[in-house]
Amino acid sequence: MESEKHYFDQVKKLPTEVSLSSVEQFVLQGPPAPSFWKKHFLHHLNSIIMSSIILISLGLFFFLPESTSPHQAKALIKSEQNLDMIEVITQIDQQSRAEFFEYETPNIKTSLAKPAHQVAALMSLPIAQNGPRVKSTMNLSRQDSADTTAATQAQEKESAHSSTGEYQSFDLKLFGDEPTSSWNPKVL
Amino acid sequence: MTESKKSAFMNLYQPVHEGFVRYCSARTYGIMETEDLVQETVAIAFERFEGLRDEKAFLAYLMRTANNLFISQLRRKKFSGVYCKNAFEKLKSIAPSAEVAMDVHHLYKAIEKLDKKSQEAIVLFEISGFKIDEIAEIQKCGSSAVKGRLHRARKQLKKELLETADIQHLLLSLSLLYTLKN
Repeated sequence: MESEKHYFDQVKKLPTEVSLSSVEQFVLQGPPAPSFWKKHFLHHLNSIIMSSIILISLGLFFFLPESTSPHQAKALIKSEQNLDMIEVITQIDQQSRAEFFEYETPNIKTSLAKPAHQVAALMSLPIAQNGPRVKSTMNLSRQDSADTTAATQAQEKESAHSSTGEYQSFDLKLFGDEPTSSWNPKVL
Repeated sequence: MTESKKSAFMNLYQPVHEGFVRYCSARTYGIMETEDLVQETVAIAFERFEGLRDEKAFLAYLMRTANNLFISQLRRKKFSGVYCKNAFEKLKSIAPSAEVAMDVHHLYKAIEKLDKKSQEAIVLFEISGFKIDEIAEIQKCGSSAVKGRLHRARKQLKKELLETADIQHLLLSLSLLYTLKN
Protein backbone atom coordinates (compact mmCIF):
# COMPACT_ATOMS: atom_id res chain seq x y z
CA MET A 1 0.00 0.00 0.00
CA GLU A 2 1.47 3.34 -1.04
CA SER A 3 1.15 6.35 1.22
CA GLU A 4 0.25 9.80 -0.01
CA LYS A 5 3.98 10.60 -0.15
CA HIS A 6 4.34 8.23 -3.07
CA TYR A 7 1.70 10.11 -5.03
CA PHE A 8 3.34 13.46 -4.33
CA ASP A 9 6.66 12.05 -5.52
CA GLN A 10 4.99 10.90 -8.71
CA VAL A 11 3.66 14.42 -9.33
CA LYS A 12 7.16 15.84 -8.98
CA LYS A 13 8.32 13.53 -11.76
CA LEU A 14 6.11 15.36 -14.20
CA PRO A 15 7.67 18.15 -16.24
CA THR A 16 6.14 21.61 -15.93
CA GLU A 17 3.48 22.25 -18.55
CA VAL A 18 4.59 25.83 -19.21
CA SER A 19 8.27 26.63 -19.61
CA LEU A 20 9.92 29.72 -18.18
CA SER A 21 11.13 30.75 -21.62
CA SER A 22 7.58 30.87 -22.98
CA VAL A 23 6.45 33.06 -20.08
CA GLU A 24 9.47 35.29 -20.57
CA GLN A 25 8.69 35.62 -24.23
CA PHE A 26 5.07 36.37 -23.43
CA VAL A 27 6.07 39.11 -20.99
CA LEU A 28 8.73 40.62 -23.23
CA GLN A 29 6.73 40.62 -26.43
CA GLY A 30 3.31 41.13 -24.91
CA PRO A 31 0.19 39.19 -25.87
CA PRO A 32 -0.05 38.07 -29.52
CA ALA A 33 -1.57 40.67 -31.84
CA PRO A 34 -4.99 39.85 -33.30
CA SER A 35 -5.08 38.60 -36.86
CA PHE A 36 -5.92 40.82 -39.82
CA TRP A 37 -9.52 39.60 -40.11
CA LYS A 38 -10.14 39.85 -36.41
CA LYS A 39 -8.70 43.33 -36.31
CA HIS A 40 -10.22 44.83 -39.45
CA PHE A 41 -13.28 42.77 -40.29
CA LEU A 42 -14.76 41.18 -37.18
CA HIS A 43 -14.26 44.32 -35.15
CA HIS A 44 -16.55 46.26 -37.52
CA LEU A 45 -18.91 43.39 -38.23
CA ASN A 46 -21.94 45.11 -36.74
CA SER A 47 -21.53 48.28 -38.77
CA ILE A 48 -20.90 46.25 -41.94
CA ILE A 49 -24.13 44.29 -41.45
CA MET A 50 -26.15 47.43 -40.71
CA SER A 51 -24.82 49.37 -43.70
CA SER A 52 -25.43 46.44 -46.07
CA ILE A 53 -29.03 46.14 -44.83
CA ILE A 54 -29.56 49.88 -45.42
CA LEU A 55 -28.04 49.70 -48.91
CA ILE A 56 -30.15 46.70 -49.89
CA SER A 57 -33.35 48.33 -48.64
CA LEU A 58 -32.56 51.57 -50.51
CA GLY A 59 -31.86 49.61 -53.68
CA LEU A 60 -35.14 47.77 -53.37
CA PHE A 61 -36.98 51.02 -52.75
CA PHE A 62 -35.59 52.83 -55.79
CA PHE A 63 -35.07 50.12 -58.38
CA LEU A 64 -37.65 47.45 -57.76
CA PRO A 65 -40.78 49.49 -58.72
CA GLU A 66 -39.20 50.54 -62.03
CA SER A 67 -38.16 47.07 -62.97
CA THR A 68 -41.67 45.68 -62.44
CA SER A 69 -43.71 48.70 -63.51
CA PRO A 70 -45.32 47.26 -66.72
CA HIS A 71 -46.62 44.20 -64.91
CA GLN A 72 -47.75 46.23 -61.98
CA ALA A 73 -49.51 48.75 -64.19
CA LYS A 74 -51.42 45.98 -65.95
CA ALA A 75 -52.38 44.42 -62.69
CA LEU A 76 -53.48 47.78 -61.32
CA ILE A 77 -55.67 48.55 -64.35
CA LYS A 78 -57.25 45.16 -64.11
CA SER A 79 -57.90 45.48 -60.41
CA GLU A 80 -59.38 48.94 -60.89
CA GLN A 81 -61.74 47.58 -63.48
CA ASN A 82 -62.72 44.78 -61.19
CA LEU A 83 -63.29 47.25 -58.38
CA ASP A 84 -65.54 49.34 -60.64
CA MET A 85 -67.58 46.31 -61.48
CA ILE A 86 -67.91 45.33 -57.86
CA GLU A 87 -68.97 48.84 -56.92
CA VAL A 88 -71.61 48.96 -59.59
CA ILE A 89 -72.94 45.53 -58.82
CA THR A 90 -73.15 46.36 -55.11
CA GLN A 91 -75.13 49.49 -55.80
CA ILE A 92 -77.41 47.66 -58.15
CA ASP A 93 -78.00 45.07 -55.52
CA GLN A 94 -78.96 47.77 -53.05
CA GLN A 95 -81.36 49.22 -55.54
CA SER A 96 -82.91 45.89 -56.39
CA ARG A 97 -83.97 45.47 -52.79
CA ALA A 98 -86.49 48.17 -53.32
CA GLU A 99 -89.31 46.64 -55.26
CA PHE A 100 -89.92 49.63 -57.40
CA PHE A 101 -88.61 53.09 -57.79
CA GLU A 102 -89.19 55.92 -60.11
CA TYR A 103 -86.79 58.46 -61.32
CA GLU A 104 -87.84 61.69 -62.84
CA THR A 105 -85.83 63.57 -65.32
CA PRO A 106 -86.95 66.98 -66.62
CA ASN A 107 -88.85 65.46 -69.46
CA ILE A 108 -88.68 61.74 -68.90
CA LYS A 109 -90.57 59.64 -66.45
CA THR A 110 -89.07 56.24 -66.45
CA SER A 111 -89.56 53.26 -64.25
CA LEU A 112 -86.77 50.91 -63.45
CA ALA A 113 -87.88 47.71 -61.93
CA LYS A 114 -85.48 45.22 -63.45
CA PRO A 115 -81.91 45.22 -62.18
CA ALA A 116 -80.90 42.72 -64.84
CA HIS A 117 -81.47 45.40 -67.44
CA GLN A 118 -79.29 47.80 -65.55
CA VAL A 119 -76.46 45.33 -65.33
CA ALA A 120 -76.70 44.58 -69.00
CA ALA A 121 -76.70 48.28 -69.78
CA LEU A 122 -73.67 48.90 -67.61
CA MET A 123 -71.78 46.02 -69.07
CA SER A 124 -72.20 47.49 -72.52
CA LEU A 125 -70.64 50.80 -71.48
CA PRO A 126 -67.29 51.76 -73.01
CA ILE A 127 -64.40 51.35 -70.56
CA ALA A 128 -62.50 54.52 -69.73
CA GLN A 129 -58.71 54.36 -69.66
CA ASN A 130 -58.25 56.29 -66.44
CA GLY A 131 -60.62 56.39 -63.55
CA PRO A 132 -63.94 54.65 -62.97
CA ARG A 133 -65.88 53.76 -66.06
CA VAL A 134 -69.38 54.68 -65.03
CA LYS A 135 -68.40 57.96 -63.47
CA SER A 136 -66.61 59.18 -66.59
CA THR A 137 -69.59 58.41 -68.80
CA MET A 138 -71.84 60.14 -66.35
CA ASN A 139 -69.70 63.26 -66.43
CA LEU A 140 -69.78 63.30 -70.18
CA SER A 141 -73.55 62.96 -70.23
CA ARG A 142 -73.86 65.74 -67.68
CA GLN A 143 -71.72 68.09 -69.73
CA ASP A 144 -73.68 67.30 -72.82
CA SER A 145 -76.93 67.94 -71.10
CA ALA A 146 -75.73 71.20 -69.63
CA ASP A 147 -74.42 72.56 -72.90
CA THR A 148 -76.97 71.44 -75.36
CA THR A 149 -80.27 71.19 -73.59
CA ALA A 150 -82.43 70.99 -76.64
CA ALA A 151 -80.47 68.25 -78.26
CA THR A 152 -80.39 66.29 -75.07
CA GLN A 153 -84.07 66.64 -74.49
CA ALA A 154 -84.79 65.33 -77.95
CA GLN A 155 -82.42 62.46 -77.43
CA GLU A 156 -83.91 61.62 -74.11
CA LYS A 157 -87.38 61.67 -75.58
CA GLU A 158 -86.25 59.18 -78.14
CA SER A 159 -84.55 57.02 -75.67
CA ALA A 160 -87.28 57.07 -73.07
CA HIS A 161 -88.74 53.79 -74.32
CA SER A 162 -85.47 52.15 -75.26
CA SER A 163 -83.01 50.26 -73.15
CA THR A 164 -80.36 52.97 -73.57
CA GLY A 165 -82.75 55.49 -72.14
CA GLU A 166 -83.25 53.33 -69.15
CA TYR A 167 -79.55 53.13 -68.68
CA GLN A 168 -79.05 56.89 -68.83
CA SER A 169 -81.72 57.57 -66.31
CA PHE A 170 -80.23 54.90 -64.07
CA ASP A 171 -76.79 56.35 -64.54
CA LEU A 172 -77.87 59.69 -63.22
CA LYS A 173 -79.65 58.19 -60.29
CA LEU A 174 -76.80 55.90 -59.50
CA PHE A 175 -74.38 58.65 -58.55
CA GLY A 176 -76.94 60.98 -57.02
CA ASP A 177 -76.42 63.85 -59.41
CA GLU A 178 -78.32 66.90 -58.54
CA PRO A 179 -80.34 68.18 -61.45
CA THR A 180 -78.88 71.21 -63.13
CA SER A 181 -80.90 74.36 -63.74
CA SER A 182 -82.01 73.12 -67.09
CA TRP A 183 -83.25 69.90 -65.45
CA ASN A 184 -85.56 71.51 -63.03
CA PRO A 185 -88.46 69.12 -62.45
CA LYS A 186 -90.77 72.03 -61.74
CA VAL A 187 -90.66 72.89 -65.42
CA LEU A 188 -92.66 69.76 -66.01
CA MET B 1 6.01 49.26 -20.67
CA THR B 2 9.65 49.94 -19.95
CA GLU B 3 12.49 47.47 -20.04
CA SER B 4 13.16 48.00 -16.35
CA LYS B 5 9.61 46.95 -15.51
CA LYS B 6 9.96 43.80 -17.58
CA SER B 7 13.28 42.84 -16.01
CA ALA B 8 11.99 43.58 -12.49
CA PHE B 9 8.95 41.43 -13.11
CA MET B 10 10.99 38.56 -14.49
CA ASN B 11 13.43 38.75 -11.57
CA LEU B 12 10.59 38.24 -9.15
CA TYR B 13 8.77 35.68 -11.27
CA GLN B 14 11.70 33.38 -12.13
CA PRO B 15 12.20 31.82 -8.64
CA VAL B 16 8.51 31.02 -8.26
CA HIS B 17 7.84 29.88 -11.82
CA GLU B 18 8.06 26.11 -11.29
CA GLY B 19 6.03 26.08 -8.11
CA PHE B 20 3.45 28.39 -9.65
CA VAL B 21 3.04 26.26 -12.77
CA ARG B 22 2.76 23.07 -10.72
CA TYR B 23 0.14 24.72 -8.55
CA CYS B 24 -1.78 25.76 -11.67
CA SER B 25 -1.51 22.23 -13.11
CA ALA B 26 -2.89 20.69 -9.94
CA ARG B 27 -5.76 23.17 -9.64
CA THR B 28 -6.83 23.25 -13.26
CA TYR B 29 -6.82 19.51 -13.86
CA GLY B 30 -9.98 18.62 -15.75
CA ILE B 31 -11.30 22.18 -15.63
CA MET B 32 -9.19 24.33 -17.94
CA GLU B 33 -5.83 24.47 -19.69
CA THR B 34 -2.89 25.13 -17.37
CA GLU B 35 -1.23 27.28 -20.00
CA ASP B 36 -4.29 29.54 -20.22
CA LEU B 37 -4.35 30.13 -16.48
CA VAL B 38 -0.60 30.77 -16.33
CA GLN B 39 -0.68 33.20 -19.22
CA GLU B 40 -3.72 35.08 -18.00
CA THR B 41 -2.29 35.36 -14.51
CA VAL B 42 1.07 36.55 -15.75
CA ALA B 43 -0.57 39.07 -18.08
CA ILE B 44 -2.68 40.55 -15.27
CA ALA B 45 0.18 40.51 -12.77
CA PHE B 46 2.48 42.22 -15.24
CA GLU B 47 -0.13 44.83 -16.16
CA ARG B 48 -0.66 45.78 -12.51
CA PHE B 49 2.92 45.26 -11.47
CA GLU B 50 3.52 48.95 -10.88
CA GLY B 51 0.83 48.93 -8.19
CA LEU B 52 2.69 46.30 -6.16
CA ARG B 53 4.10 48.03 -3.09
CA ASP B 54 6.04 45.24 -1.47
CA GLU B 55 8.11 42.82 -3.52
CA LYS B 56 7.70 40.15 -0.82
CA ALA B 57 4.00 40.08 -1.54
CA PHE B 58 4.59 39.16 -5.18
CA LEU B 59 4.00 35.42 -4.69
CA ALA B 60 0.82 35.98 -2.69
CA TYR B 61 -0.36 38.47 -5.30
CA LEU B 62 0.35 36.01 -8.12
CA MET B 63 -1.44 33.16 -6.36
CA ARG B 64 -4.45 35.30 -5.49
CA THR B 65 -4.76 36.42 -9.10
CA ALA B 66 -4.55 32.81 -10.28
CA ASN B 67 -7.13 31.74 -7.72
CA ASN B 68 -9.55 34.46 -8.74
CA LEU B 69 -9.21 33.55 -12.40
CA PHE B 70 -9.62 29.90 -11.59
CA ILE B 71 -12.75 30.52 -9.52
CA SER B 72 -14.30 32.61 -12.29
CA GLN B 73 -13.51 29.83 -14.74
CA LEU B 74 -15.00 27.29 -12.36
CA ARG B 75 -18.28 29.21 -12.36
CA ARG B 76 -18.41 29.06 -16.12
CA LYS B 77 -17.36 25.41 -16.18
CA LYS B 78 -19.42 23.17 -18.42
CA PHE B 79 -18.99 19.64 -19.70
CA SER B 80 -16.25 18.97 -17.18
CA GLY B 81 -16.61 15.20 -17.65
CA VAL B 82 -15.60 15.46 -21.30
CA TYR B 83 -12.69 17.73 -20.53
CA CYS B 84 -11.52 15.46 -17.68
CA LYS B 85 -11.03 12.66 -20.19
CA ASN B 86 -9.02 14.99 -22.41
CA ALA B 87 -7.03 16.12 -19.38
CA PHE B 88 -6.06 12.56 -18.58
CA GLU B 89 -4.97 12.00 -22.17
CA LYS B 90 -2.80 15.09 -21.93
CA LEU B 91 -1.38 13.94 -18.62
CA LYS B 92 -0.49 10.58 -20.15
CA SER B 93 1.31 12.33 -22.98
CA ILE B 94 3.57 14.36 -20.67
CA ALA B 95 4.08 11.72 -17.96
CA PRO B 96 7.16 9.48 -18.14
CA SER B 97 4.93 6.38 -17.83
CA ALA B 98 1.26 5.41 -17.74
CA GLU B 99 1.62 4.40 -14.09
CA VAL B 100 2.81 7.86 -13.11
CA ALA B 101 -0.04 9.43 -15.06
CA MET B 102 -2.55 7.18 -13.31
CA ASP B 103 -1.14 7.99 -9.87
CA VAL B 104 -1.17 11.72 -10.57
CA HIS B 105 -4.73 11.46 -11.85
CA HIS B 106 -5.84 9.74 -8.64
CA LEU B 107 -4.02 12.30 -6.52
CA TYR B 108 -5.62 15.23 -8.32
CA LYS B 109 -9.04 13.63 -8.01
CA ALA B 110 -8.47 13.06 -4.27
CA ILE B 111 -7.34 16.66 -3.81
CA GLU B 112 -10.55 17.86 -5.49
CA LYS B 113 -12.53 16.33 -2.64
CA LEU B 114 -10.81 18.49 0.01
CA ASP B 115 -12.10 21.87 1.13
CA LYS B 116 -10.75 24.90 -0.74
CA LYS B 117 -8.24 26.13 1.83
CA SER B 118 -6.87 22.65 2.46
CA GLN B 119 -6.59 22.07 -1.29
CA GLU B 120 -4.59 25.24 -1.67
CA ALA B 121 -2.36 24.50 1.32
CA ILE B 122 -1.51 20.93 0.36
CA VAL B 123 -0.82 21.78 -3.27
CA LEU B 124 1.38 24.74 -2.37
CA PHE B 125 3.29 22.76 0.23
CA GLU B 126 3.61 19.28 -1.26
CA ILE B 127 3.50 19.89 -5.00
CA SER B 128 4.74 23.45 -5.47
CA GLY B 129 7.27 23.21 -2.62
CA PHE B 130 6.58 26.54 -0.90
CA LYS B 131 7.32 27.08 2.76
CA ILE B 132 4.68 27.24 5.45
CA ASP B 133 5.36 30.95 6.04
CA GLU B 134 4.84 31.70 2.36
CA ILE B 135 1.60 29.71 2.34
CA ALA B 136 0.47 31.57 5.47
CA GLU B 137 1.06 34.85 3.64
CA ILE B 138 -0.80 33.64 0.58
CA GLN B 139 -3.73 32.42 2.65
CA LYS B 140 -3.58 35.42 4.98
CA CYS B 141 -3.52 33.33 8.11
CA GLY B 142 -1.06 32.08 10.73
CA SER B 143 1.44 29.26 10.31
CA SER B 144 -0.43 27.08 12.78
CA ALA B 145 -3.59 27.34 10.69
CA VAL B 146 -1.64 26.21 7.66
CA LYS B 147 -0.15 23.31 9.59
CA GLY B 148 -3.59 22.27 10.76
CA ARG B 149 -4.93 22.37 7.21
CA LEU B 150 -1.98 20.35 5.96
CA HIS B 151 -2.50 17.74 8.65
CA ARG B 152 -6.20 17.36 7.92
CA ALA B 153 -5.57 17.30 4.19
CA ARG B 154 -2.93 14.58 4.48
CA LYS B 155 -5.21 12.48 6.63
CA GLN B 156 -8.09 12.74 4.22
CA LEU B 157 -5.89 12.16 1.19
CA LYS B 158 -4.44 9.04 2.75
CA LYS B 159 -7.91 7.67 3.29
CA GLU B 160 -9.06 8.54 -0.22
CA LEU B 161 -5.94 7.19 -1.91
CA LEU B 162 -6.03 3.95 0.07
CA GLU B 163 -9.60 3.38 -1.06
CA THR B 164 -8.57 4.07 -4.62
CA ALA B 165 -5.60 1.74 -4.30
CA ASP B 166 -7.84 -0.99 -2.86
CA ILE B 167 -10.23 -0.64 -5.79
CA GLN B 168 -7.30 -0.72 -8.19
CA HIS B 169 -5.93 -3.86 -6.58
CA LEU B 170 -9.33 -5.48 -6.68
CA LEU B 171 -9.77 -4.67 -10.34
CA LEU B 172 -6.28 -5.95 -11.10
CA SER B 173 -6.97 -9.22 -9.28
CA LEU B 174 -10.24 -9.65 -11.12
CA SER B 175 -8.61 -9.06 -14.49
CA LEU B 176 -5.85 -11.57 -13.63
CA LEU B 177 -8.42 -14.16 -12.60
CA TYR B 178 -10.34 -13.62 -15.80
CA THR B 179 -7.15 -14.04 -17.85
CA LEU B 180 -6.19 -17.24 -16.05
CA LYS B 181 -9.67 -18.68 -16.44
CA ASN B 182 -9.63 -18.12 -20.17
